[in-house]
Amino acid sequence: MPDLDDIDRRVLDVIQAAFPLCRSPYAELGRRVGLSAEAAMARVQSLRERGLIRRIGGVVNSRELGLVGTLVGMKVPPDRIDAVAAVVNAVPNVTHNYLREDDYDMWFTITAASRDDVTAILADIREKTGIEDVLDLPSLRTFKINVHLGFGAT
Amino acid sequence: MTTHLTDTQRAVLSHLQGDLPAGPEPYDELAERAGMTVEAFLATARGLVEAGYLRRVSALLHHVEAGFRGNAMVAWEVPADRVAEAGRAMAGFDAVSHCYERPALPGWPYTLYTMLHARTREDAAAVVRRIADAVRPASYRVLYSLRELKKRSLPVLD
Repeated sequence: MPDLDDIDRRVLDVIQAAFPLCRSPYAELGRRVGLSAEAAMARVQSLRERGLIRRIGGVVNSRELGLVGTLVGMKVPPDRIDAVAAVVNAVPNVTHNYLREDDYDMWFTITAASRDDVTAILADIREKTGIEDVLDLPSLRTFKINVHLGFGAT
Repeated sequence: MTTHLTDTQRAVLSHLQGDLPAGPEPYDELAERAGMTVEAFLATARGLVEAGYLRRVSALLHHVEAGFRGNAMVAWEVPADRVAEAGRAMAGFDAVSHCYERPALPGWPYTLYTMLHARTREDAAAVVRRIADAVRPASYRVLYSLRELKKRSLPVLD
């Protein structure tokens, strides 16, 4: 567990839920956690420098925007991971790609404008990598999306 | 795709895709890059939230650096007639960040997928056992995260 004090935890809880959408967001954040605007900004900067914050930005609702996606699992031989990852990661429609501990070891998401586009992108990846064992697992229903990591701030 | 968005909405979404610039007034800088006033930029962004196109502006963390080292995707084999009930039960666990229904495939019987984040692998395994006790799946498969190969925001509006 990184060395976080109570204020760090409160800042992380607030900005994971919503970073203020106003001209002086650090003043608003500071009001929420009991800091001046300058001190709130310094906290966020420190959390960035310590590597905890990946990015602060917009989280879009891809379904509302009319986009479709799928989760893909591939069985990639261990000695081909880097080469296959290079092909997969070069596709702009691939948003996440993780190596996992399983025979199906490479798992990535494709987001595109239509199911036909997703199918074409996947066919292209199969052809370029030569990987035959591919699971195409589009989401049928969403039960939860919550990227908020709990830090137990009081 | 996204043809129902105005050019202004598209520009604002696009400029919110990256990381907020440093400085006390980050939206002023984004508005300038987008060629609009900060008032128009913020009003458009709030409208996108109200319309549901933008979930929110928020911080995304690095799981491992934030102290979450037990990260796994778990695939659950739950019969079709119990998926809804099981999915809702899984969503109720704090350690579960995402839960989706996906189709079973030949030789791949899993119908529910959860992403879960815990301090350690042992903690993650304990959560998996608690979910299994609650949901009674026919089988399940725990796929621990070994390495992030790529992560970026959506290319929707590039």
